[in-house]
Amino acid sequence: MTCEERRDILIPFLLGSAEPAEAAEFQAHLARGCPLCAGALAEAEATLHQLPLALKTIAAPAGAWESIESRLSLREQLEPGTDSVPAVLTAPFTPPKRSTAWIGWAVAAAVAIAIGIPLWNAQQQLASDKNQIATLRSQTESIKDLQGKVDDLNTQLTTLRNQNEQNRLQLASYQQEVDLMMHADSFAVASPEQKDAQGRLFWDKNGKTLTLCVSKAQNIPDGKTYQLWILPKDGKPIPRETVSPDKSGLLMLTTKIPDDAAAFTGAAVTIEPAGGSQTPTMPIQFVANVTPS
Amino acid sequence: MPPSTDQPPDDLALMRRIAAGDTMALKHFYDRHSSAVYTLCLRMLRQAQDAEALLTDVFFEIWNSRGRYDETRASPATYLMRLTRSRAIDVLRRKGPTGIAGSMRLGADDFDPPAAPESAGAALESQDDRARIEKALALLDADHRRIIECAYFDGLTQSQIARQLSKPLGTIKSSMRLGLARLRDLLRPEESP
Repeated sequence: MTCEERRDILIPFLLGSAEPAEAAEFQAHLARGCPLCAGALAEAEATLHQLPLALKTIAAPAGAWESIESRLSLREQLEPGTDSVPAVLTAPFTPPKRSTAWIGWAVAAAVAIAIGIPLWNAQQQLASDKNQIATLRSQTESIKDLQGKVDDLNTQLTTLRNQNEQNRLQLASYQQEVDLMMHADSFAVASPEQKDAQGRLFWDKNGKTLTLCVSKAQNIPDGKTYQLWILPKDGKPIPRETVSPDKSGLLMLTTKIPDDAAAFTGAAVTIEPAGGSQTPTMPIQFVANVTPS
Repeated sequence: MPPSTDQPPDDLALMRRIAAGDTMALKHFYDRHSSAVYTLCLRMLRQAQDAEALLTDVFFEIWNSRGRYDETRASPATYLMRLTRSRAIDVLRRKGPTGIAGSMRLGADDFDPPAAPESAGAALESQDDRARIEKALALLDADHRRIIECAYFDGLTQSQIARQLSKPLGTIKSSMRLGLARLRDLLRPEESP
């Protein structure tokens, strides 16, 4: 066969429809490196494959690209970063079809089921695992929220316990004062320098204490303090504790009666430098005289 | 296509990007050629579902075998049409004689008349190509054209075409050779009438 004769089978050879013997002969000829036939073949191919461009153009169906994209995505999920393709993905794609060729479809369906069920199961398992992970994450977030609330409640509980302890101590103090007032002897307090002030002096003979309570006592300047004095029958006043009134002007102070003051006549309060003095500074702010029973 | 400051990448650039794993390039390539591929699929398979399936298979294969394309052997468009046609022939052969026969029986002239208006919305470049090919086909001898169509779109062998058209095998062979040479000459830009 000459190169000119081979032109007769150029198209069938290109399109894969040549007779097997002719195709083999042409192939062998090309393998021997005939430039004329190789060039003619390339030229024929470029010519023939322009034919489809003359057809009435019909737009590709909507959704076809999405099908391709889904297959690419599925492939990437199954074998990320690889170029090997699972057989199930390279199998020809088949969209829903209404056809009377049911036998062929039945076979295709059987194959699809055989291949698809394990894949479907794997996908279901994956979806289930993802759901469980999402649930666990949600539960973890809920637990974190609850833990935060528990921490807040613990803080509030600690605060309440501290307040309760303070209240308990305050109550005990009040109880002590009530006991004192119920059982101790009390005496009026005079306040020659502070007209609004009123007070009582409680003498607990069992406990050997004196408690002075004065309301509406004046605030005193910084560096100064009220100081209590026990007034003995004979001798100089005995210096006792210092104290400052609270915001409401309440002045309250309890002191032990010293043994050497057994025969005392009363108690007085003066204003002294901070830290107290050994000798009272006039004038006397509050004073109470006691009458031993 | 007229020059533009923001011309989209040409087919060769897209194929190189596809070879590098760029799915966006595949999308561009699809947008540019999907209609032509689908039209060819529909012309050869004659059923919309089959054509759609083949359309997606072809572009999926373009992606999966992206290292296989040899740009020294054929243009991307020629490679795409060759692949599409080859896969369509595979489908027809899987269907057996009814597939080929069905395609052949329905293989009437599907080309637009040469003077037909272009389809609306087609790209200018595609319109130019189409007009040029239509014109060339219009100038081709009717028998030669029919024989080439039967070979290309219906996948028939020369013997099958001879039977189909009730012509001697030798006539079919020579008509194919002459028709191809004439078409080649008509499609050469410098020799286009």
